[in-house]
Amino acid sequence: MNYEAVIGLEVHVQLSTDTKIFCSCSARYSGNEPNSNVCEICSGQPGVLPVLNKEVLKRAVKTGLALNCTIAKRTKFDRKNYFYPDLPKGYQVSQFDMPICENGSIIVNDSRAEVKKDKKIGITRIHMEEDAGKNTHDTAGIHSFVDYNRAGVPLLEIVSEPDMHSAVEAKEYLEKLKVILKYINVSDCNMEDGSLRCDANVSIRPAGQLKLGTKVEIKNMNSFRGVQKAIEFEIERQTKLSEAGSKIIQETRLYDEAKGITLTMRKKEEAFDYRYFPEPDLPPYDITIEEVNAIKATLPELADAKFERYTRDMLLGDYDAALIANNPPIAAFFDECVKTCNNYKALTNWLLGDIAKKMNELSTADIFTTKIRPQHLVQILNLIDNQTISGKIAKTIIDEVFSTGDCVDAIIERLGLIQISDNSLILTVINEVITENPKSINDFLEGKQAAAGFLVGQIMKKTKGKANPKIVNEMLYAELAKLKKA
Amino acid sequence: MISKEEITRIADLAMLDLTDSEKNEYAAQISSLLDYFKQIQSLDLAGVEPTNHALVADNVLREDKAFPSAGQKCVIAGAPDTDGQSYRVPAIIETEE
Repeated sequence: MNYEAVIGLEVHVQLSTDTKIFCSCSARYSGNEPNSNVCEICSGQPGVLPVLNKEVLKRAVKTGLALNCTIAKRTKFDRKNYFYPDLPKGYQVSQFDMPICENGSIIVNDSRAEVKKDKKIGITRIHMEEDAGKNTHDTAGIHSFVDYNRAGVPLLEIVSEPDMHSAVEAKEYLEKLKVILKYINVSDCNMEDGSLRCDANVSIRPAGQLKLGTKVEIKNMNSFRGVQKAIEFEIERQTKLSEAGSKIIQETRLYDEAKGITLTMRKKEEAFDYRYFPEPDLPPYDITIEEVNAIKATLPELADAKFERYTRDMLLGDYDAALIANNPPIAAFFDECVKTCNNYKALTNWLLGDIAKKMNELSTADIFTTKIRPQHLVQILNLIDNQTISGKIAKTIIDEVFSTGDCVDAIIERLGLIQISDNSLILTVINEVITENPKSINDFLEGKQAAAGFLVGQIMKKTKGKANPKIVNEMLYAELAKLKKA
Repeated sequence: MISKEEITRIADLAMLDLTDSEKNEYAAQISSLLDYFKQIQSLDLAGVEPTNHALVADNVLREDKAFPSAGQKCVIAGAPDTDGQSYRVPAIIETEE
């Protein structure tokens, strides 16, 4: 039987605010001594009064708008009750029935396709909540240790509809979500650091059946690749069980990255019953249209709009346009370049070719951490355009920009890289090469066209690549034609 | 009347160990509470805005400005068990093969 997988994702992103969601402790806890970033409020002492961080609300609304959600007119917090050592109060302050955002969507692009394929993935809801502390375990397995520095750091939980049907699609959704969150600058979105976490709900059903199968929740994935691998494993596990006639149990499973498998998580409570109730210490919030509009006005141009502009106005190919639009720093770099350069195709080729290669060598994904700046690239392209330098020299200059960050003029002057367009100088070199290579001349005269290529190579070598290749070609063929006649 | 099984489950969720006589005692008390809510539920409240909060003040926000925290010593002073930095608790084991 053919089975169809049904996947929904729950993504937690830490907001990169200065302080925690309900108290004035710093939210930047990384590298701090355990329990040093903790106060009466985030450690849940009796009688304290939490107050919502303005910036958390603002970023939640901004995220909702960027993900095409409806923003609630009134929103409130609720207590989600359960016991776990990393939860200091015995409940997590979260949102239950009146989340800040609902009914959104993301357009997912198939990055492998040469032509952009779109699919809309629904977003059920986004709510604000507080992060828990962190447990570490001793090797003997006797004790665990709890650090509450992370407790109270603001989180957004972004819940998707079960609209995905493959592990690759789930990964693409995550990638697109990350791009959008990066554009609006609300979170660092780093899975390795835990500022973006993802749980997956996976079920299978016979192809064509409408009713959903029993869903299994998978946790503990630490990378986008891990999410994809865990879902792939889980789909296969469930398919094998179904084919063998076994029942799939509704449970939570943990992904073991090293082994590439999912394992049953021991059930802490018989069945989850969080006994949500309104958080009595936090009053509800009424959001006005004016507030929403003010936040809307701060939204930058997002990936889909950029893609539109690149393909429609600049006539870039879908593949190139998507590569640029889905990489916020590259898009910012490109957009800066096009303010003063309208050779979009050349910009794209250099950006996605040689410059991307240099970035790979440096293992950086953010072009602004390197030494090249938009004005470098624009000037290099102008110099190629007016034939001051060749493409080959441009590569040398880019190398030099990456290592020194110097301005293009200084590099050209220092390395003596101006292209030779002086015909008499080039002619002298051509004649030298003709005299030094009688065999190649003979070959050429006997009809071997390849010999001309060798001669061009020799000329470029003598001029250290600085001769204008177009002029070299024209003049060499003219000289060779003279020899033919003679 | 709420059943003893339900009382046991609620107690488990709240991590409370109750004796048999306590369970009976609480079952009677909770039942009378539930009866009272039944009275409220019988009212016709169509068109009445739900009161989802008791506080009158709405829209209270705080600036995103950090202040020094209480500090590690102060925080773990009240912990039943520590290693000097963190709260020490019985090992949490999460998976089984």
